Amino acid sequence: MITLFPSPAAMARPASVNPAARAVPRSLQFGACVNAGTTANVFQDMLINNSWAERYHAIASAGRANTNEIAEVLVKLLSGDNELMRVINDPSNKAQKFTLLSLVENFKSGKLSEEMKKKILEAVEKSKGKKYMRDKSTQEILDWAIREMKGEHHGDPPSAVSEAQREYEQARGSGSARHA
Amino acid sequence: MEIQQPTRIGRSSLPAPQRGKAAMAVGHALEQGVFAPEKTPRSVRPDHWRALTSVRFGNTPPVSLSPEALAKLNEDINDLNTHVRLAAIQKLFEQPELKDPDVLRSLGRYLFYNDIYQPLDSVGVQARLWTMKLLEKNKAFWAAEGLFNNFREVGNSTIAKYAGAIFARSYPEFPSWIQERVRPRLYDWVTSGSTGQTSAISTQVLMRNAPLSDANYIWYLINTPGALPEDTSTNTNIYGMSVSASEGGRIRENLSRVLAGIVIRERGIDVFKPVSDKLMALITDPVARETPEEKRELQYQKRFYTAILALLPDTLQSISLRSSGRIQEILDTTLDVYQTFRSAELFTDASQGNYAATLGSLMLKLPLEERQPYVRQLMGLVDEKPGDNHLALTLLEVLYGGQFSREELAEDYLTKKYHSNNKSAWMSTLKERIAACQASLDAPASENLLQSYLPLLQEPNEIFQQESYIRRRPKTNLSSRDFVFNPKDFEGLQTSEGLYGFDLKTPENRTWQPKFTPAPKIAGEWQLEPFAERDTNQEVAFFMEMDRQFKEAVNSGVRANIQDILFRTLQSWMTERSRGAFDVLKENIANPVVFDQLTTMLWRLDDRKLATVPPKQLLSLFRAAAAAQPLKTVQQGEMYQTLMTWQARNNPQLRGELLQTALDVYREANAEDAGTASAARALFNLLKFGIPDWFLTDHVDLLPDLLKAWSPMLEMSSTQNRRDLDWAFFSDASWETSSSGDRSSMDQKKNFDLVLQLALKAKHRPTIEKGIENLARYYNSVRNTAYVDEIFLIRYLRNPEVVAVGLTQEDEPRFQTFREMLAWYKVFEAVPQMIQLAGKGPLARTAWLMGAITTMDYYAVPELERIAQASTNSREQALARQALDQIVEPKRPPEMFRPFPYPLPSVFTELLAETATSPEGPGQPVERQATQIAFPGLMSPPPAETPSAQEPTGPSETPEAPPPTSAPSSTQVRFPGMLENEGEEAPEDLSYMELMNRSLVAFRSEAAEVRRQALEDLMFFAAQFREVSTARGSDIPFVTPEKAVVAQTVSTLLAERTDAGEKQGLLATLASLQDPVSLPPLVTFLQQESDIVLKQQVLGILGDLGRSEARSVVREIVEDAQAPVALRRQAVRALIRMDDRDALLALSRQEDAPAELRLAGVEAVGELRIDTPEAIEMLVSLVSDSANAQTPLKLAAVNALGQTADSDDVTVMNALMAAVSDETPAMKQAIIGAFEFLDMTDEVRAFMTRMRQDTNYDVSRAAAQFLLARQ
Repeated sequence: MITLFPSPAAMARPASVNPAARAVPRSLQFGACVNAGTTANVFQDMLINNSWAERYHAIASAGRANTNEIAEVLVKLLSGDNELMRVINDPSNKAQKFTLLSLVENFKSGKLSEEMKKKILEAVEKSKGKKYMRDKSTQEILDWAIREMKGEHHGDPPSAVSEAQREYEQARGSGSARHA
Repeated sequence: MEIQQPTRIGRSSLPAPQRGKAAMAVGHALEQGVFAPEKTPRSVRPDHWRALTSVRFGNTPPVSLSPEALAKLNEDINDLNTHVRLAAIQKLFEQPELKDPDVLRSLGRYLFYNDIYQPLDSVGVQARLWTMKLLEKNKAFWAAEGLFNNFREVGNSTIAKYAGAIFARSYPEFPSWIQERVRPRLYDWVTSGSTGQTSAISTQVLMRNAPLSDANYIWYLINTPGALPEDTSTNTNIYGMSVSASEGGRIRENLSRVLAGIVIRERGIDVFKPVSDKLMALITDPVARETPEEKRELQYQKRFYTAILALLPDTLQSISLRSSGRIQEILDTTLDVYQTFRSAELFTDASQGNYAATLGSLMLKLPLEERQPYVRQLMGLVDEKPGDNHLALTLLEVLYGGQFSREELAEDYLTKKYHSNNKSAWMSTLKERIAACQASLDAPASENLLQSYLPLLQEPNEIFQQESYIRRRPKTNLSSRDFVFNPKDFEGLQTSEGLYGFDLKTPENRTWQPKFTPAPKIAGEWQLEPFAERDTNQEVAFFMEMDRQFKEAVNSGVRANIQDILFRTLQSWMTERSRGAFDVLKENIANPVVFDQLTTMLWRLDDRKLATVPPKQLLSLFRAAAAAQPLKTVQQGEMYQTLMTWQARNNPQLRGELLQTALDVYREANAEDAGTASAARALFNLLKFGIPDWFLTDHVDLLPDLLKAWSPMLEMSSTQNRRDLDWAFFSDASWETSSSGDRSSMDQKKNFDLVLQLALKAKHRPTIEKGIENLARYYNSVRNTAYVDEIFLIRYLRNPEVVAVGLTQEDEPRFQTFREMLAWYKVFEAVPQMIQLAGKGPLARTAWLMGAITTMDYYAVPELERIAQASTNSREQALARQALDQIVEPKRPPEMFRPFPYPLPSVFTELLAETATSPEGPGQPVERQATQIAFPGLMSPPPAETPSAQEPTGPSETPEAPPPTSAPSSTQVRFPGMLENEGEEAPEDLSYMELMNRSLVAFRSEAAEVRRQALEDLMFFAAQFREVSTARGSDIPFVTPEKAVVAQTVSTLLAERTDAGEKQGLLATLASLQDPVSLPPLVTFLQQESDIVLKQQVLGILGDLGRSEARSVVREIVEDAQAPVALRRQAVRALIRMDDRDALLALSRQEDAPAELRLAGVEAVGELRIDTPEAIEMLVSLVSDSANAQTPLKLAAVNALGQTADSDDVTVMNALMAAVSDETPAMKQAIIGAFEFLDMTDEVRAFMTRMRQDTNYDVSRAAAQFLLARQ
């Protein structure tokens, strides 16, 4: 139940202190940087085998992983990899939105390699044509994500993004990022 | 009373007369006993203040504050005004011991939040520094989180350094669980390579405190590709501030230093010699490294060794070697290392200076004759290499027998003679000098020669004040000395004007301090200014005539006449200040037309002219008018309001009377008159200048009415530029000048503040609710930016009224933010109320509140302990215990320090093994001492760590991270003052499993109440338990045998119970497990249960689990024609979450299915984007079937096609375009929308152009937008 200190990248504020929402595996928060290989597998496993709440949590937590391995899985997810298709084709469009936000966070962490960043940007741009991205607000987030990654975005994010961000933080369960 | 010593006032910057005054004030104060601070008025004159604050650092015996005084100071700490806060914090510093938990937590919270992102002025910086000092002095290290935030403060290096220093100094004193939480963050900062300072300080802290068990983690980071940014540095000068190093290089360097610190603390100074040899061997190693891996490995090893060696001076610096006989040995080692470094050119200027100084002080500890060989050896070394000047200076220092410091020598010798800074010239002079000194020492008459140099050194010098060579140190290089807190650094600030010296306006200018005394009760005639001498009779006659004319005009009722006579009277009144004219006006003002005209005329005047109106007389006019209810029209009201406000702004001395008048006007105003609202507004504007006490005591009955009129003022615009809004919140100074009419954000804040304050005084619930709502809105709109006035928010959140209202509105979503704010801002004052409410259920609220309390962390501990011990309500007690348990003794090991699979590096283990086997000579004590002094971190840790580390650590024996479950004892977080009977009163330490079992047992109880509570506990624990088990560190977080046990038990209970409510609770428990183990009981339940509501709940849970195992049973329900449609619909939702495409597709084709169900099926096809040919064909047929026109089914099919169809599917396009005829606008819009992700063919363009012409506005706009977007 203990909240972790605000992350160095961003001063965190809890979007929710609901224990039910917070009750989620934390292995991704530090684990990812400790043992990247295993965690990428665990991550993917969590995406496939878990309940929806935990999938959302896993995706949102991956936003803080900032490793190439985890980013790789996220890219795989976004591009509708066969195995992960069931996750990304989320009828409530949450998985799609969270994946985008997670990728943006990873992208901007400054810890990914240049190739990975390129790969992410490609995947995000390519995902625009995917059927599972056809939701209107998802499209909005997608456009924003591309601008953000290209460093073209200035000012406040559109409302669809901030709304999704709020849910995203809630799913992560331990605080929202201050993109300062 | 006599003052022993006039304290240290003499040192202060006060000029002499003031000092005298101050001393007198101190004497006076002591006599009066004002040091019992409750007697100290806050608004004492500034020099008294100064005296008081100066005394603080003298030898006045510290006085303990009374609880009331502490409470008062606590309020001051939470004040909006930084000056007030600073004064309170300084006052607290006098306390020999500060135990009051409220005060300590307020300080901690202040440190945590206040203006972290705001530009800090000097007062703010002071307040922060003092808070840190205070917390450190009182060992309140649970506030580490707040310190941490300051540690990251990049805007002000003093603050960051000081916070860093506290960390470095006191890290071992932190409760171990805080250490465990802090350390990962420190690593984060070292590895993030963010600002140089943050990572430098983090490195220092870790260097001094990281345990051996971190070594393999660090090594892993350094050596694993991808774990850190690539190290592309080519710079061979690895240690020190190699500016050209890449980010990756710098991070690895810092990590190497941490490793070096660990090694030195483990092995003491014996480690240096072998390391030096190893390094030399590496450098001279003839084997060429070919592969990049080998090269990198070599570089890392070098870096590691270099880092160890570079720490030698720091380690030795503070050793007291006088008593030890090992100086020669140590000196040998040091010299050896020095030479290694020098020949390998690894030195930076600073580190060489460091080394040279160490050598010098070591040599000086030797007797004269033993010194000689070293001096000779070093003399041979002095060359013209960069950095040799340090060596030369050291030699001189030694030769002079330590009579002169290196700094003195440097200034006098070097710069004086050669201030052209010609290095080689002064190097050669230095060498001459050294040779001469040496010769003089060798020669029998040594003293004479030495003496001859002394005058040279003693000459007064001026030039060198400007610049000294030695003192120029690279600024970015932190040395251990930077961490020594020197009180002198702060003294200058303490005594300078303006920080301590309160300027006069500060205490009085506090936001809500009334600025005026209560108005005198006016009896009878209004007091007027005396008139100048005049011919009274003539004047009386004149004005009697004027009055007569006035009355005549009024009676005639002709507006022009009234205007005319009024104008003449006004002229006489304003320009001649004629009393008579005023009397005439006053006589006639009761007439509404006169009043109307008068205010219009006055209102049209510009400010300068208006200022010539005698304010008191105007007031008197208004009072006279008030009696006649003048505010008939809106316009009149507005003019009245403006005039009143104007007067109040410009005549501060009249504000009390104006307020009185406004009150009278308000009370007498007729509620039906249009202008009456202005009376309320005028009152409001006047109150903004301050709320006098008498207003609240005498007129509290008015407040509810007033508040009703004012509550729109509580709207804090969220669309306003946030920065402006917040800026306004911070700049109190300009507030007085803001005009009442202006809609600035500043005004908004002030309005808000005033209304909420009044509402709280009046306990006006609707207004308070609205206030809370708007606070939440403010918080939401700015919380993700840096600009949020946290003190402002905390100020209201602390208010018990606000909390009471906010918490009892828990069911409304808009108050969720309120609770979030309570948790986030650590409003520990609200904990008792929260626990009380949590004890009442329902479960969701309880869980929520408990989560909020535990988020407050140790800030909530004192209240929780109080409740756990003293509450009479057992449920509350249990909740408090439970929260304490989670805060104080977290069961979860930090992930980072779990046993780590990566083996310790061989270089590291070898080194440890080697030095461990080195003979344990008589030098052992020195060595221990050395490491302890240089690394204060070693002073306290238990010796337990050392023996385990002394065994050679093989790769298999990765140091087990000390399980933090055992380490933190609950005493460490307890607040001072709460310690009386702890030990035997320690809360029961139960695992979640046990708690669950208890609840399960309790659930079988007969008493319904017990069962209900057990159920709530059960669900609560299930959620907690789940977190614990998933975080326990298994790599497969979803396999947990305990969950299976819980699921099993709950399903047994489900079968036993009959009460629907209890069953619901048990199902929720299963749901909160969120685990596949709950599938079998859920499925069984679904098959056996008959209650539809419960079945629906189960279907919801199954959907959330989203697992395919339960598909068949859910399908059965969908296909069951007997089942109610609502249930079948819920089952369809579950199937969607389970991704059961076949069943859904089948359903969407089933023509005989109930329309609602089929509709759900078609929608599902769209939601899941099922794009098989059959699905598309089915959808197209639905769209094309004219029998379906204008049905929801067709609409759903159109939408689904938009989601699933391939972008170039011409069949779909044609079907959609054809379907448009004879349709409703809504359907047309849906069809246009469906084209969004389809290709733009000519047909589509033509179709859209046609739709553009549609008669319906919405349709044509949608088509236009579509065309626009595709252009």
